[in-house]
Amino acid sequence: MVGLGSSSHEVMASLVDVSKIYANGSCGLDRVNLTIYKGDFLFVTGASGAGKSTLLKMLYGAEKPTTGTVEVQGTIVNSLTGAKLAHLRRRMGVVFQDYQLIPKRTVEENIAVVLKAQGFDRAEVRKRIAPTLQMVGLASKEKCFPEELSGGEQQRVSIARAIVHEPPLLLADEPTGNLDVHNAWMILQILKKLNHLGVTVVVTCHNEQLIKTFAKRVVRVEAGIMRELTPAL
Amino acid sequence: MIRRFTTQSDYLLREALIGLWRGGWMNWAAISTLTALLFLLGLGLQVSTQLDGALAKLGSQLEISVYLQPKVRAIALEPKLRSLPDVLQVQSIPKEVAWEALQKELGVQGDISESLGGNPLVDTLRVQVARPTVVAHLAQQIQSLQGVESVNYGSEAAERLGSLQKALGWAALTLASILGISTVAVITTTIRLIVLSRRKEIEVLQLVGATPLRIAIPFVLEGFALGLLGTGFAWGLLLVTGSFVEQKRQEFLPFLAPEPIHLPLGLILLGTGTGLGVIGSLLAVRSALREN
Repeated sequence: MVGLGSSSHEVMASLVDVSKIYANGSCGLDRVNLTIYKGDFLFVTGASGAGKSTLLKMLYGAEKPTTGTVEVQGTIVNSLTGAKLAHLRRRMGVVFQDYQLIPKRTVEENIAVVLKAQGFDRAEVRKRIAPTLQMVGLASKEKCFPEELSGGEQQRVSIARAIVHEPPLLLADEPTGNLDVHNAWMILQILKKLNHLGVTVVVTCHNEQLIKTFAKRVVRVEAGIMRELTPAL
Repeated sequence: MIRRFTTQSDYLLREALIGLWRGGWMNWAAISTLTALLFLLGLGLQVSTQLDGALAKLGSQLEISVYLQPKVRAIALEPKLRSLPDVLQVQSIPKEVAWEALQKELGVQGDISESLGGNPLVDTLRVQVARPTVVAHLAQQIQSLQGVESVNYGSEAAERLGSLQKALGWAALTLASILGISTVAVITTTIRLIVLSRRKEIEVLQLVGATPLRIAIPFVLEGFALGLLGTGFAWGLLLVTGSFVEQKRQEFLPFLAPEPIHLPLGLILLGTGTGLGVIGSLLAVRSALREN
């Protein structure tokens, strides 16, 4: 693990000459080159439809590049499917704008599902849930169902689920997109705290104000073309 | 290794149970559909077996009477008849025995054969046949044997029984096929609905690093459990119906032998029910995994 909150020169993930052309001919990404270092807190910004989510999806293997190479933690993601892709995803956490919580499961169960799906035993699952919920400020909500929580709380559950297995890489796709300023601020504080604990964080966000307040490193995507706004350390 | 196995089994079984518990009415839709179709399938098979048994019993009572030429003795022809295919039993009736029985039946006092110029009867053989469908053919075969004067059998009844049995066999096969196809279609659609309602869960599991096998197994176990429950209910209904039919049989058709519902039918239904549940789940979850 890298030093607290600081980037190293060890590469966590990289995109080399990555392009994505969809079946209808539209361009999602155009020859993108990006290196993410261990310990980075990287913001990916740009207008809606610019290609931010596509870039993130490439990193967790939900989209395949048309050309170029995507590498995460030493594994080429391009052609991964099935169990191999599942094993790579165990080394990362993903947070979504729409939270993606399972409606009929309690907060505790929503978080436990990650650990159980990865083969952790019951004792280990129990041991990990309470501190994770405490970390996102939801210690008293473990028995609640998602519908009983506010948007901000649901997003915090989503973060808890993404970090409970202690992944070295956290990908957050517009985690503040559906939240008011107060909740958005709280979410970014949690992500910052995680980064301080050594987690590499990649966040897509279109709110320039928030980015200015938190950013260490920012890249902008416009019509599939990526530009570095602040240089990597 | 053992701990890993128990942890995995514990997780998969719990997931399957939670799925069943929270599946709500859709589980009941699947179970009731399976129950209804398995019940009809079981009923079809049971009725077919019952009629088959009854017809076989009637058929076995069919016999061919073989009348020999005056100087030929039954005992000489008996081994030949025994060696023919589909012959169950052969009974020789010497003309002396038949004559004596006839006189007794007619109430004749003393021996009247002298006044008739001797015993007018011939030796007879009674041949019991295994299947009604072969009676006519066998009778022809016997007729062509040397020493046989004539043969007599209930040709029309035998042929009718044979063709009825054949028609029933086809009807049972057609019914079983139609019900089988319907069951596969209905159960796959129902379980697909269950999977669709949990599509989000599948999507989340994929994103958090669950392997496709780990996602699929709880659904397959659920399908198995649904099949098991469906079979249980269908079996119960069949037993109730069976005892009702048995009561009516004793009232209206006491001459027919009872045909209880046997365990093999239960095993056929169990295999079909759980098999359909598992296949339906696999098909449904496979397409959901592909979609995500």
